[in-house]
Amino acid sequence: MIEPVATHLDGEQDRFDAELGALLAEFRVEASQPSATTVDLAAVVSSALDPLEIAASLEAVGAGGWAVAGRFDRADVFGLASLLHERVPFVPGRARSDDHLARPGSTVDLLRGAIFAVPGIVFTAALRAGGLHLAWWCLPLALTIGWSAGQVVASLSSALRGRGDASGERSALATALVVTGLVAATVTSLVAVATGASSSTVAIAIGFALFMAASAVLVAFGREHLLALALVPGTLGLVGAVAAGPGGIPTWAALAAQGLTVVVTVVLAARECGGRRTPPTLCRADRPPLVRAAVHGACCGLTVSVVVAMAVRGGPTLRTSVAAWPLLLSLGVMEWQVRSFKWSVQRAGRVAGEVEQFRRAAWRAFLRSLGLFVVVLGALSLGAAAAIAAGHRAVPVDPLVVQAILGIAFFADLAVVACSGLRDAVACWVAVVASGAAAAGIALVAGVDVGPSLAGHGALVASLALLLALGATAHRVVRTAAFS
Amino acid sequence: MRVALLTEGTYPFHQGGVSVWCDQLVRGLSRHRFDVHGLCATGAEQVVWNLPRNVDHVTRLALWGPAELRRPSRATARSFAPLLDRLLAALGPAGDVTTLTDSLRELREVARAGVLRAALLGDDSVDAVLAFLQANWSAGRSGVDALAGPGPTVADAVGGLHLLEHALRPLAADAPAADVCQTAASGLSVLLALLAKWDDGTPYVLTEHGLYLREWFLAQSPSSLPHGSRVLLLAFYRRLIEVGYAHAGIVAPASEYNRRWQVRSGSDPARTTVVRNGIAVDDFPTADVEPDEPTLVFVGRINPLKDPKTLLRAFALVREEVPGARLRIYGATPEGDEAYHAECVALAGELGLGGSAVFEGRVESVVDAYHSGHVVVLSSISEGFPYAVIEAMACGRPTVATDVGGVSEAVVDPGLLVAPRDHVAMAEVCVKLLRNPAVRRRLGVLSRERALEHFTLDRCLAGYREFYATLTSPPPAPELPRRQKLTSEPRVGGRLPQRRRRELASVGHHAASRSLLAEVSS
Repeated sequence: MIEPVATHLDGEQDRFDAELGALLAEFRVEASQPSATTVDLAAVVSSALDPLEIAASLEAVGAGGWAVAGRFDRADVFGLASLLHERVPFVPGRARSDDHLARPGSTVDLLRGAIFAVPGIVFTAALRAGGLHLAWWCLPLALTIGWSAGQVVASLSSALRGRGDASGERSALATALVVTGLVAATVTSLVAVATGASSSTVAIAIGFALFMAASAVLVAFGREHLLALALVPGTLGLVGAVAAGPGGIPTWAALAAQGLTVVVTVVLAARECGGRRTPPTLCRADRPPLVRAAVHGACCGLTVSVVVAMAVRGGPTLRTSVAAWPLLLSLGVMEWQVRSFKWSVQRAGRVAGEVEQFRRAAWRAFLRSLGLFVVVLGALSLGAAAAIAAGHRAVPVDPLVVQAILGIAFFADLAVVACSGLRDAVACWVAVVASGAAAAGIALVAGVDVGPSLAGHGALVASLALLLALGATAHRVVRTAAFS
Repeated sequence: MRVALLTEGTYPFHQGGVSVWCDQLVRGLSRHRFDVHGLCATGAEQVVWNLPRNVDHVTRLALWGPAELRRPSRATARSFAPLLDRLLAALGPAGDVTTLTDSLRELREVARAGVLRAALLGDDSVDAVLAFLQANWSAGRSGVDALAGPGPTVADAVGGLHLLEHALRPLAADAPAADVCQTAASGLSVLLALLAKWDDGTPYVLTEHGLYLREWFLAQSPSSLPHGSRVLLLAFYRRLIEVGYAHAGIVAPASEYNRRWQVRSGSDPARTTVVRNGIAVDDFPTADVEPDEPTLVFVGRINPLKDPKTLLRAFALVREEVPGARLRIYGATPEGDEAYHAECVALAGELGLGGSAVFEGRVESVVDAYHSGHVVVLSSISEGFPYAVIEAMACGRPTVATDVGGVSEAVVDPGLLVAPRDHVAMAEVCVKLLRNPAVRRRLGVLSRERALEHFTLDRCLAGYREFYATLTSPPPAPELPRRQKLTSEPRVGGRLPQRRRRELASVGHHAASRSLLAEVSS
């Protein structure tokens, strides 16, 4: 709250100053009536950095005429402004935004994380439990296209919302949804023709990609509760599958439950894009961030596919896919801690009077949030290992380790992106994915027999490389003052 | 002759008074060729004006759209630190027009290399700005609380640097190629004019409608922008505006009021010549009949500077005296002011104005809008020389207006002026007029006569035609080698003859004249 200038003047007995105080009091705006458009003359005068600023405000409140200036023996508004500038004690201004910080993470974020985790668990588990045999490329391709589309949706929404272009945002997101469906249909159909895969593989890949894009639309509009609602059929399908045991429910039933979830999600997302639509106000400069978002999503999707593929390589059973679940189950904690980290960095910027002080505080905040996440992910991974061991099966060590490392890398990635470092994060992802692809290509050309063991070690090395790259990037980016 | 018209947030992407002036200029000077360089928010803005044939190109320069964050090389980063120090010194109390001009020229090279953003947002820059804020926190003012509070923080420095980076983006643009540049505002469009001046010695005319600095003050009040950002940005804009005035061949304010402010802000009085806005009076025929119900009309954008809230409050008082009165508010709501529009609608509801105050939205025929009321009301808190007033006058409608900007130079009777935000006074004058048809008609006739005599478009265009001719006419001195010519101050002193300047500025001032309205008892 701004210190009332008049009180500084009240203590002085000088009639002249008291009259000045009365002038300012005449145009006071009570703190209980904040408005973006009213001029609180007293506040402006006490915080003004230039006499002309006071002159502008005097005129805006109707006190800029000769009559008012004459009361103080001044020829015009500039003379009166100079007088006020000189006589009224200075108080640094306090903007409304000074008190505004992004909210810290909370338990609500745990629920949001659960919504993001459920589809991964439900789809993979229910389909496996339904005994459906999909081509090996189905999930990786769907994840890559869907994740990429989701990132583009988020980027489009953020850019257009920042411009106040609500109708353009609806158009852009509706278009993104349609394009995702078309791209997924085209790519999967071509791959299916080339590999001789079944039509159910194609349908599931398209459905999964569309689901991811549609859920990104719902999240962009802040409709997580609708997404949760859409997940109900799929979750019920999973419960039925678990109750019935492996192969215990007919394939069509497993598909129908998941299909219903996809359809409901897409319909709800399309409904959000309804209403008046206009061409989005996008320009050429928007392309690089959109491309970056798409590449980032594709790399994330591709990498998660590796974990999923490793988790289920032991066979299409429910138990083996459990190895991928710790990462999914810890998404809520990740969401919570990334938000808390961001809040801490913003607060550090508002407190630190030196850059070095800020750098230390920001890095400490990062380590604190990362530490908490690592503890939870580690505990969940140990729990998963124990659950698998309890079923008298061999614990899939490689997948569990890889998913844990990837989880930490994802955390670093989100922290970097939260600090406006998407460009740096994408560079890390592209470098690692390109190196992995090159290694796989060389192995293929050289005729090396890539068995499960070698593939597992390869994934381990790649995820470690990713973690190192993103960790180093986080160390640089989160301590940069400009990102506070 | 080729003219580069330099705009910011107006023509040809948005409606409004400044855009009307730009459109008049390019259409009126049909033998000149125009290129429009528009500073805009994102670069995605669409042209909303029907451009005449003599407009050859429209260039968009985005101030707020996404920007590439290319990391500067080590050498650039090293050399940037002293450059930033020089810029900050130019913005401090010891700085002046020359030091800022030199700094801007140096920054231009960094901007053209595409690394200005990264260099400005580096940690070294944040440290430098923190030191600047520390030294200028109270802008030299003293007071018991001058040192109170936490002082500048990293967030203050970063916030200010982010905004400064946006403001400096025009430096990366190509210099406009033209014989003369014409800015439609002061501030950032001056940066484009400077590029042309540095590269080709192109002179420029600086026209200001709403005063850039004044409107910056009103928009960026202490409660709306953090103090640290204000310290840095105000220092920048204040000095930039001085630079703009200093290098302009001619400063052409739209009113005596503007001229007073400009001179106060550093403009050379000898090169500051008033050219008031004008209208094609034939397009604004006199209204022969009045509507059946007593009606007030407002024509303007729905935004805080136009202050329609004061008008609504005044109208509520008018309704108490003239129960059947209506208020018709014509005008679009600019992007970003939708929430303000909603506040106005809510206020009308709270005041119980129901169907009597109507937001008509954007109007196709502004003449019909003026003709639809008995009295035209302007409630702005800041204006240059508003078209709404002179158009209404040409239509023979009495105009109640706030005494801001050049409004007092336009209206026919001082009794029609009220203080801004004074809804009681506004209501009193409106009631007087609504109750006295004879006075209303007499004021309408006098208003039209005054508009025909002083505020014609031909008069305005003649002024600019002469400015351009004067600035581009060969200097009397013998030809210098080209290189030398580029670096010299080109024809800055392009002064109009005294007689012509007097003609352009002369408008019978009514301040001492008798008020017809004052004689009418309420």
